[in-house]
Amino acid sequence: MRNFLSLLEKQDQKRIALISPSGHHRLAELMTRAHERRSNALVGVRHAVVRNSAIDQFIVDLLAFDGFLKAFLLQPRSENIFSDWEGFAGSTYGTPLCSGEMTSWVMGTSGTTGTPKLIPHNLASLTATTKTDLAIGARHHWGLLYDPARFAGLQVLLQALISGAVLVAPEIEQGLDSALDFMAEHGVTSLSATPSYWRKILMSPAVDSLKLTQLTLGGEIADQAILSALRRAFPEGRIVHIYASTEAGVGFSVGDDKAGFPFDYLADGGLKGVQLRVRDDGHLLIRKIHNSGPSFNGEFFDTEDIVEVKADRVHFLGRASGTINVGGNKVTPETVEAILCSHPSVVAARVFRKPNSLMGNLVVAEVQISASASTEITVNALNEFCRAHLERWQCPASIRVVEHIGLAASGKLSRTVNHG
Amino acid sequence: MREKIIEVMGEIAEAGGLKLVAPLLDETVLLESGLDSLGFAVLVTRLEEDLGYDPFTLMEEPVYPRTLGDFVAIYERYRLPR
Repeated sequence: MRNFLSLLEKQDQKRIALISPSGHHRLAELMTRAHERRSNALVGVRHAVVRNSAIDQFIVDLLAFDGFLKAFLLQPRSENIFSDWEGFAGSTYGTPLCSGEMTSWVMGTSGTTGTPKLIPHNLASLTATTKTDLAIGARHHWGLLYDPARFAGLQVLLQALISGAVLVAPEIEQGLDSALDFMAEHGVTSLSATPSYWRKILMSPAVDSLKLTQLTLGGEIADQAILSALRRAFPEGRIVHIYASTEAGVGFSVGDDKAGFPFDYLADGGLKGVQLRVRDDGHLLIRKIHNSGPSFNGEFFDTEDIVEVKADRVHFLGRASGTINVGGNKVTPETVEAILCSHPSVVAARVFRKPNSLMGNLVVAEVQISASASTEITVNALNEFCRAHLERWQCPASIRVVEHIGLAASGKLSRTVNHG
Repeated sequence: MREKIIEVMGEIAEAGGLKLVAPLLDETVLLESGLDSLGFAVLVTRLEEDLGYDPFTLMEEPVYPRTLGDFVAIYERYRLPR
C-alpha cells in the first residue's frame, strides 16, 4: 500500500483538485505544499494533529503526514478531542514512521454513550471501498457538507481526491442555503449526506439549481420516504444509501431505491469484503473478510443496530441502546427522564422517540404527576423547566400527563413508541 | 388554519429563542421564516396534538413544502372531516 501523497502522483498535476472559499487549488500546489510541510514539520505527539481550520491546509497536512508519521490525530472543528490524544498516543506516536509500517489516522467516534473514543484507522482501511477509476472520477465534482475530520466527511474527501474528481468545499458555517449555492455555482454533481440532512436540502430553495448525478445517504437509517423524495427531485441521479460501521472499518451500499438491504446480502459471499449476520436478538453483526484467506478475517462486531427480516428484505429498526437521534444529535432518554423526574410535581416519566416526517425523530414524554398538581400548569412549567436544563433538541416536543407510567414485565421502563 | 399555524409557530419560536420574520406571507420561504428544521419538526408534532392529524404521515408520496403557503395548503388538504 502506497501512501496518500504517492497515490496522487500519477494524476494530472495541473488539474483543479479543490474549490473552496479561498479559491481554486491545483493538485500540483497541494502536493508541493505537502512536501514543504514534511521538511518543516515538527515531530512529536503535540504536532501530529491535523486541524480542520482551512480545508486546503487540512489536505496538505494529510498528504504530508501519511507515510511520514507513525500516527496523527484528526481534530474536528466543533469538538475538542485533543485532550485525550496525548494519553492515547503515548510517547511513540507522532514520531517518524519505520519502513513497512502504515500511518495511523486517529479519529474520534461519538459512541452510543456520547463519549468519544479514539480509533486508529489507516489509508488502506479508509479507502477499502473508494472508487479509483480516474476516467469516471474526472466527470465528478464532489460537494463536502461535513467536517472532513470526521468519518463521513473524510470519506468524501478521499473519494474525490483519489478518483481524480474535484472537491468543492463551501464554508458550512454560513448556512446550508449559501453552501448549496456555492456547490451549484461550482458544478457539484455528487453529494453525500445523512437522510436528515437530505430532508433539509430538499426544503431549501437552492436545491433547484443543483444538478446532481450521484446522491449518497449514510449515517442514519434511510427510510422509504426520503429515498422516494430524492428520486422525484433527481430522476436521473444514481441514489445509493451506505451502511458503514466506523468501528469495524467496513460497510456496504444499496442502490435499488428501496429502504433496507436485500436478504441475499446475509449469505456467505453475498457481499465483497464484508460478512453479515443477524443475531437471534436482531442485532446486526458485521466483520471484515480478507482475500488472503479465512484466517485473516476479523471478529464479528456488534453494530448495535436492530434489524428485522421481512420477506426478501432486511430493515433497520433502530439502535439497540435506545439512543434517540434528533437531526444528528444523540439524545439518551434516561437523561431527559432524569430532568423531568427532578421536578417536584413529577412522579415518574417516560421519554421515547416519536418518528417525525421532517426531522427523522423527535423526543416526546409522558409524565405521571403528583395528586396535588394541576395538569395544565404542570405541563407549562415542565416545558420551561426542560428548556432551562436541556439542549433544545433534547426537550420533548410534547409532554403528556398520564395516569401512570407502565413498566415491562422485566420491571424496566418500556420506551416503545406510544399509540396515543 | 393559517392563523392557527402562525400562532403555534410563534409559540415555538418564543420557546426556542428564535425570531420569526415579519410579516409572514404565503410566499415566505419556510427555511427563511426564522424557524429552523427542529422548530418545524416540533411544529408538526404540536399541530398533530391540536388538530388530530399529521398530514406528512398521511401522504402516499411525501411532499416537502418550501413556502408557508405550501405548508398551509397541505394542512388544508388533509383537514379531518367534521
